[in-house]
Amino acid sequence: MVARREILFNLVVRDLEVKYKGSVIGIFWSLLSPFLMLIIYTLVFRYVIGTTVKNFPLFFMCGFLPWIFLSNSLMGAAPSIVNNPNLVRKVYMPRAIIPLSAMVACLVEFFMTLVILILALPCFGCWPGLWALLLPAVALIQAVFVGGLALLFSASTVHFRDVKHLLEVLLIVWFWLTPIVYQLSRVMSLELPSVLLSKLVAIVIRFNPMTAYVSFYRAILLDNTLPPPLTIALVLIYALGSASIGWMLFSRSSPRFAEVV
Amino acid sequence: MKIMPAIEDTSAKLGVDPTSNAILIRGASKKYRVYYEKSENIKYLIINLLKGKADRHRDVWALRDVSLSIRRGETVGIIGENGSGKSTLLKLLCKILLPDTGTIDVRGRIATLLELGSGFSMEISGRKNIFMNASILGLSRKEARERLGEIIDFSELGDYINAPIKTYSSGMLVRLGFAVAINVEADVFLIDEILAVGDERFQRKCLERIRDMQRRQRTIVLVSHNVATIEEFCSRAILLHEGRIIADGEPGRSIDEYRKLQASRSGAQADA
Repeated sequence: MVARREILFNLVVRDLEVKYKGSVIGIFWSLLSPFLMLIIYTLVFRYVIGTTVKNFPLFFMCGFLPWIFLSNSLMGAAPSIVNNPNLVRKVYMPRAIIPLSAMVACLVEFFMTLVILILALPCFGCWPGLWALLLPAVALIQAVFVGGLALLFSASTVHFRDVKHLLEVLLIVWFWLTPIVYQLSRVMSLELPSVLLSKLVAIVIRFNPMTAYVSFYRAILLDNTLPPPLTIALVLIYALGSASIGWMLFSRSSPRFAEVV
Repeated sequence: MKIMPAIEDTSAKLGVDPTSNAILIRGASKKYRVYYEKSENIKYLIINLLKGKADRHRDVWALRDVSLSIRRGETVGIIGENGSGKSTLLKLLCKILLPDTGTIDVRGRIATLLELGSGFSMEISGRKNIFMNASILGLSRKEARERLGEIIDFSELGDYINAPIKTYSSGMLVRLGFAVAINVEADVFLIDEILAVGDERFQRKCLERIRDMQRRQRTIVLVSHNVATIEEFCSRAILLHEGRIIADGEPGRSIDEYRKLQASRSGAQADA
């Protein structure tokens, strides 16, 4: 068990080190991208479209950072087994370590960006309250959710090499179906050409797992309160569901990885 | 304690002491699926489903009903032609592959040395790669730290150890990989064709290490095409042919069988 944790740790360090190699202020790069996104989304949604969301930059970041964690993890984990054939064919270790290390590397970056976010809150006139202490716990619960999907997508990429492309498209759709640049409440009163369609879209967005996580982050960071009990329950259910389904499918197909990779 | 003699009796009948077995394989077979046509993409899967075409494959048995026991402290060589099942056997022993039939028991800690430098990353230093590689081979961070000096000495890399390994020559990479591998502590070593690395002097150093393992009663399973190495190091050699054991015993004999096999093959080719 100890050795396995160490392989995971080493792989995470290797990932991060390779990524930031050669840049003196390594962490700078992982912060630059969300920062640029913050500027461009604020420009478009606050000033071009004219959103009515109060304090848009913070509102956006509370949804966007958890989203980046999900998206980077899945894009990194999906091809991880296929890209490391020698770790599968030439040595024995629990194969789940490979996609999970990709996820954990993203989790480390996520935590760094969250620290910056916390520091930035007062600058925008929003002092974090006591409920903000739950932040690491929520992030870890989200990591369980993301980890399950990481296992799922990495195993399916072994069998179908084009899962990566499917995932790219899925992530774009998923992004817009998550209340990151808009408020969940707006979705509940949509007026699409058909009533049925409006209901459908509202339900999809309402029960999109990422919606629950984003709501949780916003509640504790921006409103200093707990989200409604339903959201708390959903956050836990999604994490457990994703982890158990991902784990089940992964452990079913991993014994044969060495033959197909 | 009363039952102990009974157990010893049965093992005496079989001529084996079960407690001294490091490796016990019973009726292991391994089948590979070789696909003529395979839907490797979701796109093709859908197209093939619509056309009603199924994946076509045939089964290739890489190992058939192999039974084998290896005592603790034995050094066993495995020889055979390409595709005879040597590597498959090693991979079954270390659980990289699972058998389709039979059981495989390996006692103690296994070191799998099928390739050098697993997990090496070109961008980071040799020193950091040692920890990466060592953890994959089953060495804890603490153990790796204790052996760090020894590993660096053995690799003969000197100050280069702190440079990213993309600056290394292929010889240096191999030396680093071997230095880690040879410092792994385990009860059972599974080694596949990695002994022939570096220049002659370095090779002698590596082989000296294998001797050292033998003195410390480690169990070694060695796959090699180099008959001389097998003859020199092994107390026993197993000849595999088309997935079956066709000779098992004193190295000289198995090697003779192997040579006969090869001779008959090239004879058959000459006739044709």
